Amino acid sequence: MLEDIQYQYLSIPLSGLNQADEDNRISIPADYAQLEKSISETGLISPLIVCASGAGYKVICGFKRLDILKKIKPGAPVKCLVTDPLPPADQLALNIAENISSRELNPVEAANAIAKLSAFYGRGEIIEKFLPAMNIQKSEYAYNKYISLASLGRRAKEFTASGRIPLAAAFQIVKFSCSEQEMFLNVIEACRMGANLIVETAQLVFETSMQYGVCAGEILTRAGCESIISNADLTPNQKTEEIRRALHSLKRPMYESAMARFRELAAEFDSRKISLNPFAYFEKDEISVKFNITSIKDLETKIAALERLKESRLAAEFLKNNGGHGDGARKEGKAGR
Amino acid sequence: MIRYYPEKIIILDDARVRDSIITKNILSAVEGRNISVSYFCEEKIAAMIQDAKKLENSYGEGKKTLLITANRGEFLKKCPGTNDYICCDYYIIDFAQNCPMECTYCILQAYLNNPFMVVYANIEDLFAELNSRLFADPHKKYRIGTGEFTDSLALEHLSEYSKILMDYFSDKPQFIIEFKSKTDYVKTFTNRSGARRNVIISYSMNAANVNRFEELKTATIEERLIAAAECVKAGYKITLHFDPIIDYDDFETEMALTVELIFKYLKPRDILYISLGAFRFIPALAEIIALRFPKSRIIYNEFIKGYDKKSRYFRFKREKLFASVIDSIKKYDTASEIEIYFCMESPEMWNALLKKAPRSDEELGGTLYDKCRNCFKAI
Ligand code: SF4
Repeated sequence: MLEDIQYQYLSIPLSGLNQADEDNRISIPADYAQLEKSISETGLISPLIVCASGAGYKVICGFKRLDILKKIKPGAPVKCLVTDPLPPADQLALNIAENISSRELNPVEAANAIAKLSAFYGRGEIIEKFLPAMNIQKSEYAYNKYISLASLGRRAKEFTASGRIPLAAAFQIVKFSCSEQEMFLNVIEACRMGANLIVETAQLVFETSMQYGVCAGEILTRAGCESIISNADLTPNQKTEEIRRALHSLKRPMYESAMARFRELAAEFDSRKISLNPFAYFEKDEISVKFNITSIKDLETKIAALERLKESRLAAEFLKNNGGHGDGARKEGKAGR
Repeated sequence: MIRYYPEKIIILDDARVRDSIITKNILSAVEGRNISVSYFCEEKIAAMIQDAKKLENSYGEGKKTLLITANRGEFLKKCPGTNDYICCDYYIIDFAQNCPMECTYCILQAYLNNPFMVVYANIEDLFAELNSRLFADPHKKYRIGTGEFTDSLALEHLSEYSKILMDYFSDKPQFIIEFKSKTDYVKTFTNRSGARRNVIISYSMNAANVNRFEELKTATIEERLIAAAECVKAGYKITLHFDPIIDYDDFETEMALTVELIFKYLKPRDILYISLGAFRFIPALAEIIALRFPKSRIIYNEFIKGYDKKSRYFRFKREKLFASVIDSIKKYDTASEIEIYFCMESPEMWNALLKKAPRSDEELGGTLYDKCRNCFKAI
């Protein structure tokens, strides 16, 4: 039982700690600026927890603190609480318990913890016992989702741990290879996308890759992401727009091309007179025409506009009994299969 | 194909269920197998359903339990349509819910709120309801199916429900009854003398690769067609349903393979009609498919929201898919003996690919009904 563990207080030189042994580590090595500032100003307040192992000591809790101490006080001894040797499962459980007693684990730490726990505990026990303790919904669904996150690439883990990409996006990009995750992260950084857009883009890339049966990297390449983000003439917003447009054209080629054609032909009309909307056309032989009338004179203007519509290229292409319907969309064929 | 046997059977402790012929049939069919049988009251069963729903793979796990219970609602339901698409005016007997097969696209995954396999055993209530409702309008042309909330024949080897329904309808030839299935179970139809004149056996068809990868635990297309041929031999007529038609790899070739197989086993005159419906789904189903069948790519395509609020393929893509199936069929059905119709399609689709669109659901339902009746009279 964890509550029965006895601790002994010791100062141990850094060289006495088995620094290469990261069996119990759940955090990712990253930039802990705030913690570093605090340790350099006030020293180590919470000691590391270690246990005797071979000729030295194995770290159970305090990997981040150890990273910082190695960097800023490489010669100084480290304050440690030493336990008797513990079975590996208890070491891990102790580390998790110590962490969640003082703060919430970030998603990557939770994922690492669950992945490591699965070496010692069955899935049912992890779901019942550990997920609620980590503030994660007690379900197999959540278990599977989190365990998948443990296989994110290093940079994607950093982005997820620091909240630079939302969890929902991390769940999508974990299905990409590590190099594809890199490409995706480059895109969202260059475009300075906000949380919602990141999630939407990750989903769009994943779904389009499934649609075409190719990898996510191929979709990012087909959308021309690399050249868009390296185009110095574009602002981040413009880059975002270009990328979204390219991805949507891949995802909905028939719709996008029919829309483009419709817009092109509708531009021949003054939208202040009549407004044309093709939406109904995507399911029926119909387009929608809207206008308001303010006076008899105005009515005459609108009637004239409708007369022009009757003879227009738009009517010829998009309405039945007048040169066939929807040739623009119909010709486009299938999406990548 | 492997027949379904539950791991346990739960029976509602109510005389209408306990003493029902359906319950007796099921219990005698599982005799000698290691299947636990328990009787519970309604409250206990409700609690068990709630517990089963909490399981991660509740839909898959729940099927291991067969619940024999009573239907407290209506048995006879009208197939729901929408105003903007043409429906075939079909009626359904809700005799069972859920299905032991595992089609990735199955709507039941999102529709049912009870993960168990369910059979409604209060058959006397069913007959009472049919007696009071079916005769209310003597002019109504009823085509009635049972394969809407389940597969018509998936549990037939246990319950013999279809056999009992056939007996009920045997002296009511004005009602057409259709058993729709993805199984190859034929005993109900071949083990009796003389085909019932108002009974149609119906099989779902799909492209050969869709059948292999998306219709798990079902009979193969060929097994279904062999079953269909046996039914024809026993004197029955067949209907086929290409639904859902899915935009899949090598669509035209794979679909042509299926059509070729159809006419290897059946002649055009054996088939009364063929319906075509393209894949459509609600958002909740897409989530379930992504979760339960992560390798399936059917939900990743170019879809639009239809007037029924379901995602469906872009209009011209559907047109292309349908045209390919129709062309394949026409190569064999040169005399146009088979009636082809669309399930839930717009008048535009009808006008583009078939004869003029029916003016109403009743008109289409009437055409199909008349086709069946004329054919039965001619036998
Ligand atoms: S056979 Fe029908 S009811 Fe059964 S899983 Fe397949 S689609 Fe669903």
